[in-house]
Amino acid sequence: MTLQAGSHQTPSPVANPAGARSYDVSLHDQPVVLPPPRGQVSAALIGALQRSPGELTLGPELHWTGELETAALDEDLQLALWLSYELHYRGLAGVSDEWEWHPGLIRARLAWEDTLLASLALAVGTPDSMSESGVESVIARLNSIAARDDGPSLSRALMRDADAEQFREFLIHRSIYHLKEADPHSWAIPRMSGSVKAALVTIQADEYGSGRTGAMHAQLFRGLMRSWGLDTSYGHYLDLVPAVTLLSSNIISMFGINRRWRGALVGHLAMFEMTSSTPNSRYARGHRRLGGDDAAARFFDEHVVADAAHEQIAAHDLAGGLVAAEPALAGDVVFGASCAYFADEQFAIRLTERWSASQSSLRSVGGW
Amino acid sequence: MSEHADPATITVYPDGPLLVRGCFELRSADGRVIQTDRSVVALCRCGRSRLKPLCDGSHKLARFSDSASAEEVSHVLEFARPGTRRNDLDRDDINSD
Repeated sequence: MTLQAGSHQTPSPVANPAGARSYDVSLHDQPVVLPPPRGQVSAALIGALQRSPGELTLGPELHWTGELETAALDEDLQLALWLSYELHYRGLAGVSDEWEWHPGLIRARLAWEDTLLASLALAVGTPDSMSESGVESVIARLNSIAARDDGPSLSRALMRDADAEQFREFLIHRSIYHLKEADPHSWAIPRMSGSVKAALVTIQADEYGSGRTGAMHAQLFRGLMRSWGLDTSYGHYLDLVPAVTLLSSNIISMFGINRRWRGALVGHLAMFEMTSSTPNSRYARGHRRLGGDDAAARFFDEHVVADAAHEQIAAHDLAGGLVAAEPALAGDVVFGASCAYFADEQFAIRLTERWSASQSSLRSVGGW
Repeated sequence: MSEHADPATITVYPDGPLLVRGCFELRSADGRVIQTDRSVVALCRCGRSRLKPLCDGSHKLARFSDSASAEEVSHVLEFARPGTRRNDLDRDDINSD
């Protein structure tokens, strides 16, 4: 459009006048809507979060009193943990940002973490029991954990047997993590340096699409969800996913937020990467078998190729490099890897058992 | 690719693929460029990948074993040295068949 000098013509509205940038905010995640509670602790937490933090002291109502053996799969505890961590990510709708570092909530969260850690140690062994001498033996342990094949194979079930509704359920579970994919492991970046940091950033850069919005793994997952007719807003399905799904996210957040667990965080990432390529190629085949389109399959295809490189970098350059620099972290690295394997195994058990019984793997929403 | 980009390096990983880093271009047998939008790619070393020349993790299912240890590659390092004679590279496992 040209405007002639001296004309009194009113210019039509210009959406993006020269010099001004247009911003796409449609992919900016909104804080998560508070879900219904799943027990006494999450009820007390959710009740507190809706009030102003300044006037509140939190006490015994946030104390979880279940059996240690059940903690990892306890709906009430895992939801309380997940909400307390989400304050550090996208936030919670209608909840004051001041809750993020509220001393009473932090104290309660530390107690929940102690419980979860003790429960995980019961399941996989303590970090102390996993102390390995030297880089080579840590890498050998990581390889042997990744090679275990003793649980049900969720990826084979999705490749061969799952129906469309089950595939959709799988994506609903995974949306809790994949819509913030890589974020929990990024907590490790400021805690590493030198070649270990370089290895970590090489992996994370791929996760974030080398800075291209559409190539970020979280956005690829969003496209995949959309192709299956699912709601792609962040945290939308929180109320539908069971404790085991929240556990997967909570373990990484716990290792990520606490610097003390940086070794476990690195071991966790290594196990993620070392057990990714083959399952993702199976998910891709299941997706296509059920009529899923190629564009949406890019999420899986991307993981097959990227993680084939990442697993080498994560095991040798990242985990091996960290143990070489900080030998005392060897047991933590193996512990983190074992916890990642444990959570994945429990997740596979939940889904395959429910599906074998012709039941949904999602929660049947209703009181507690 | 920036003209100041690092030269390509290719690293052998134990029981796994070759990792290529730096400034490189990957081409198919007929010379077409294989698009790899990332700074590091893994190339298949076991021959079992469905995505050759890229690695897809199949070496683990195939139990591909090549430790790439210093002892095992010593003959290769020797090979790269100028003046190496062909018969220096004779190996028992080749000669025994």
